[in-house]
Amino acid sequence: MANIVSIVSSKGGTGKTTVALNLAVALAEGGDRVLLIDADPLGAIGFSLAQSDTEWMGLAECMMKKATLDDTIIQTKLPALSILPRGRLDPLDVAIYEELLASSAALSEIVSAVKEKYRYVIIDTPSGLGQITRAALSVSSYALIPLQAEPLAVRAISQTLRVLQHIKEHENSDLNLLGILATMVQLNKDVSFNIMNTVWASLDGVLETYIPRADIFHVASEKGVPVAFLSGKYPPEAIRFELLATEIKDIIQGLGGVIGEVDERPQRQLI
Amino acid sequence: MKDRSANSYDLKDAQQILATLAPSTGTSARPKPLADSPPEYLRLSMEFSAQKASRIAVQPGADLKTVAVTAENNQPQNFTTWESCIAWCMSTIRAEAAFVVDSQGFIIASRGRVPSQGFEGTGAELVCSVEQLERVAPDAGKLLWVDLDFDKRRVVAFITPSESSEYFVVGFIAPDSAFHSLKQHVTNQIIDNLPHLD
Repeated sequence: MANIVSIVSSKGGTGKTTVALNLAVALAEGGDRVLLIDADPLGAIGFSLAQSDTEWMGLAECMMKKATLDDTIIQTKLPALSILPRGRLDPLDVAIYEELLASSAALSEIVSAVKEKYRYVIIDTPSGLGQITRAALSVSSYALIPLQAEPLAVRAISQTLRVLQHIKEHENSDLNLLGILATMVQLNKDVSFNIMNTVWASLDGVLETYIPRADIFHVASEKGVPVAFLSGKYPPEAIRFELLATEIKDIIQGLGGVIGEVDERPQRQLI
Repeated sequence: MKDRSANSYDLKDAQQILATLAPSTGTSARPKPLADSPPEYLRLSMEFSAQKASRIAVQPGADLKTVAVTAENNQPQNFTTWESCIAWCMSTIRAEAAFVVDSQGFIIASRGRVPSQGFEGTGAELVCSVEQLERVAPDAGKLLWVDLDFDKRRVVAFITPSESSEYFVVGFIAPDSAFHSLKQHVTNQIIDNLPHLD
């Protein structure tokens, strides 16, 4: 049974897609089967992997019954990671796409069809708290909120939490907050430092792992790969996502979710 | 030195919501959840009448059928009458009603939920308004669309482009929220068929 994790944020530019992609890679590199669903009408996952807007069929074609899930899910070169792209959506049809995705059972049917096959299904949502975000939350077991370490994002966090609370109370009682993930953190800058102090001191549910602001994310985006796939020395940012994956697994286990095989070892003698 | 003084962030709401979202331990009393509608929020969903909301909502089960209709509607259309033209337009933009008025202000076709007073008044006022509205931006060309958001419903109208003083106004009552993305498609279909419409 898959753990369905939606990456959501009311504010744009908080790093949702970067988190979704690199977290999916970290979980898959740990051996868990992962499906990354691009529910953002922008198709940001495809862009992050340097694919053109019309390269892949995906969610849009599945919803319109023009293709099957098997036709559209892409097996990546990382054996445990698959991607369901957004599809070849005409930008002029975004409003219809949003309305249909939210009002039809398409997302729910897709999740039902894949949940036995994957350990984690990560849903990358568009910015804002519109219909698609709510549809994703209504089929998810967990929500992860990237929080950009800057003033506007902190002031807007209540909006995201309020929608989360509403969905949990009225639409999906199985939904749990996985945590608030601070992103683009620059502890050497006063504003960022103060914000991190504030959120660590004031908010429950802020994850211990945080993602620093780093140029390497732009480099990875330019090359169309996750940070862990860049050549050269293994980047510390990739290690951050491994830590994030471990922390998330612990939280899911604590909440009663299934995380697969636990890394249990017998006691050994050193000397 | 780092400034660790008090900040300007009001996180009370966030703290309260987080407390309600925390997994229950079974022993500790859960904090009282926030009221469903804090007074500082404007609940647009509560402002709309139930009738409007039910019209906008896509009915479960009918969704994929609607998709199919939309896909069919993307094909080029051949209309011979204004009635068939506005019927197609209504299904495409999911309007409650539609009408066509000529440049003299006479209604030549109507369809859908026609109000008791008819469309004569609406049509005549639209025709009168076209000339005045074009004065708003004299260098912006011919007026093609009028989009009026009243507090109860939206009224939009397409004015057929013409070299002469003869034109038609095609009005739509309460098209759905996706209307804007279909505007160009509707424009093209009407213009393409205009020479054959009777």
